[in-house]
Amino acid sequence: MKVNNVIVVSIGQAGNQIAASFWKTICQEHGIDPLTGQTAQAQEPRGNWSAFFTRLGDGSGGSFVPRAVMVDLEPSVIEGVKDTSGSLFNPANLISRTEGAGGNFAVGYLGAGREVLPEVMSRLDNEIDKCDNVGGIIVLHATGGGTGSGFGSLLIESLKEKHAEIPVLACAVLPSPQVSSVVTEPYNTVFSLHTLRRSADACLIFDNEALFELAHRKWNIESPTVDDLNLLITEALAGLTASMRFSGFLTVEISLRELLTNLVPQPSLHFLMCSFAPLTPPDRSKFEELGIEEMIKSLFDNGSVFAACNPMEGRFLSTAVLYRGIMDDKPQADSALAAMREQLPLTYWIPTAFKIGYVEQSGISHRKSMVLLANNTEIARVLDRICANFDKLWQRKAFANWYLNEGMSEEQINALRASAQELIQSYQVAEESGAKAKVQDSSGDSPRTITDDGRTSSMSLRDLVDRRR
Amino acid sequence: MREILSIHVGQCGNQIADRFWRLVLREHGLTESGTPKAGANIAANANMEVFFHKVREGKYIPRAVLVDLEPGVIARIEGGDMAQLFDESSIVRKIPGAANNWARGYNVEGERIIDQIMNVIDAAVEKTKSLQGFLLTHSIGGGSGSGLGSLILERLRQAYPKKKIFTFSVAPSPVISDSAVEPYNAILTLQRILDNADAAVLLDNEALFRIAKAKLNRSPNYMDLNHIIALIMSSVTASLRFPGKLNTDLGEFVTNLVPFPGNHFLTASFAPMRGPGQEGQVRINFPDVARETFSQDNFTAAIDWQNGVYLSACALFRGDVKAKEVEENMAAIRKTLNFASYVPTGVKLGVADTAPEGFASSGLALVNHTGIAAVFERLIVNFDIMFDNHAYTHWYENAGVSRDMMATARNTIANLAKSYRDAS
Repeated sequence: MKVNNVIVVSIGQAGNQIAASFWKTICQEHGIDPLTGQTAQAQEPRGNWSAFFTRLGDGSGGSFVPRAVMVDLEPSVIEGVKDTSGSLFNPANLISRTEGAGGNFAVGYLGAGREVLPEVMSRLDNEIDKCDNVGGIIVLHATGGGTGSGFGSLLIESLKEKHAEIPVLACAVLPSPQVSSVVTEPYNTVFSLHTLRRSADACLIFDNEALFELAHRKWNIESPTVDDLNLLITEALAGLTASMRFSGFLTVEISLRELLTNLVPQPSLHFLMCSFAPLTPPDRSKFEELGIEEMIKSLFDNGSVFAACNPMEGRFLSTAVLYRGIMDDKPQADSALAAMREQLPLTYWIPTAFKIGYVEQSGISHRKSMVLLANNTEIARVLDRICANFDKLWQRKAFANWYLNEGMSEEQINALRASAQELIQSYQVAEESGAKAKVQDSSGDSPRTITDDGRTSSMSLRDLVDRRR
Repeated sequence: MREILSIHVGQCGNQIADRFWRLVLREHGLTESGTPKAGANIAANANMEVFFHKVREGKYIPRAVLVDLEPGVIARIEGGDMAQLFDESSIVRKIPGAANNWARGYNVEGERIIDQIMNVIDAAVEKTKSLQGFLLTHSIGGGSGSGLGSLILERLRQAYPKKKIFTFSVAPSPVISDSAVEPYNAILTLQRILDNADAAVLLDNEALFRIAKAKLNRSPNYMDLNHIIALIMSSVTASLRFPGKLNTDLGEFVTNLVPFPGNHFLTASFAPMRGPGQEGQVRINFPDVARETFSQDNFTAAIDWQNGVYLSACALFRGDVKAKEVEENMAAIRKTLNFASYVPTGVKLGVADTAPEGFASSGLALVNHTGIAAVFERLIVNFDIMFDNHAYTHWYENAGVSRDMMATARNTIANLAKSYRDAS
């Protein structure tokens, strides 16, 4: 069966570590051996495997190869992937260089990144050629390091230039001092935000600040490592791609493009956050199952969002809930979600944005689980935190010489910082405009006539933006 | 023979197809493969050519075209117990889906395959002797059923200007929404239904859910909801397929139900409501069936009953009912229905001898009520809030549907709502 195919490009240390964990998980979900790419007794893999895999050869020697391209400017992580993934990946798609980016956006974007770009684009084109239909490209990267931020930006821009039609979802891990000690992280993140804002079709934020807390509080890990945080990210990624990878009688297949249609109300408002339920430690999930209502409650809890902010205090522009697992209680889930929707701080000018997806195939660690994807104005708080750290450094031009030496100008840096501010502002405007009291709806007794002249007048977002300027 | 060709578009349209054809097969004594069941008396049922094409002795193929931009639902029909039923050449399935976007279904993806679809439809029409019309099932809130469904409606009307086109259109529910852009998709589709169809039966999942929940005594699932739609669809055509005393066909329905051009949006009710396999043999007397058929709770769209009037109504009773009994009971019910002052006649009646399988008798109402304006008004309220704030419109503009086109559709449907309110 032909389905939409998705290619996953992972960049830099964090991106590739997440990718390794993600591919391992979805191999297991499809019944593919993560070391050989083969299936037991040469069976057909479960679900719509061709969404994320290509088939190599047939019969008992046949194997399934991830539609993956992995890039790093230094060798160690890619070597690690090679050592631990057996013959799963096509070695030609594992691309690394020796010097690294030195935690510097400019090296990834302007220096070494430019040199590796042609090879990466050619491997990507090769993957694109193998697709029946490119449903989208997912880019996994962290914005704190030099490769993830710099080369990540360069690649997303080059991709959209060449293939404007293909939807690109960037999954960006934001830095936190709790987990890492690269001092230039605020610079790198702010610089890459510009590309994420201008070129990516949507950007899903994984905020290490929040993930650290979650691993600590919910998984009871004394001092969580990046591996723990990457496991959380993997759970969310597996859940949100499940509706692209499986079908079933009750399964609602949702392509990446369909997710974007629902989640992005305006081109500039495309920064998403997510949460996952249950946040039971994976080794205990078998023994401690949450009920449907509890699961939904936990999903929307400020304390379980993968971004350090309080979505229930902001405004939801749009929401998608993806449920997977045993379908017995689907009607119960439907009504619990409808009830939850009533409690959400919605945006009055987006009355219907609540997409629900169902996938019958369970995940690996939980019999039932849910992923929430939300476009919520509280993302401004997260970005604000990064920008504040940026400003502290930039006021004193601390560490700025590294960027200036690589060919960036002060002017450019100021412009990139201003771009991040515009992004924050557009979410703040959305929050203000969304707060307007709900327009009187159909509860009235008398019939309403809505004709050309009798339209409900309302302040438009555009007006508000203009006024602020 | 007055054949009917069914066209199923999109995920929802094909899920309905799955339920509908199961039901029709059973009514005609056929197996899931289209062969006569042991002991079934096919010869006695001369009218089965309406829905089936007899390829050879003992093998019938549905007059159906299945179309989707996502392969999942059709693949499951093809892989299930009805795998041998449909003609492979009448199935068109393509990737990559319309992504909930009417404009992608209508323009981007639709344009690539509309010629292929029309060829398949033409080929199916050629197998008929005297086609009376088309039934189209789809949802108007998604992307494929709404956008591609709209394109098919336009091309169907061009190619077959004299044939009747009936749509069974699943409308966004006032409470549960499937996607953020439903109001846009629905309004753009309603404009095409207005311009190209002869009648549209609106069904909303919320109403179906409510009906199913009240009548099934358990939490309904989507199969239950689609089963209700299937029961309605089969009853609409029953008097053509089975011998009876009062016959109605699609043309007669339209003549009786549509008082003004364009006011062809109907709602339906089926009684007694039972889930699949739950029909039971509980004997329900005819007055109860008739009453339930016209109970406001039992209609499939969120009609504003308080502020509207009946423009017209048809009722079709099936099974063990007597024409005299029908006329007597309906005369009484007619008095309770609030008809427009300028409509003097009663309820157009039809009777067919064979009830849906499992039922001793059943009733169907198809009505044209001005309270349907509420369905359009609700959509327009949401459409306006989003449209005025430029929410989601870029997806449409990127796929070749300008804000002007969207505004035109909105105003057309606003005028339609107004024409219903004015008709009260």
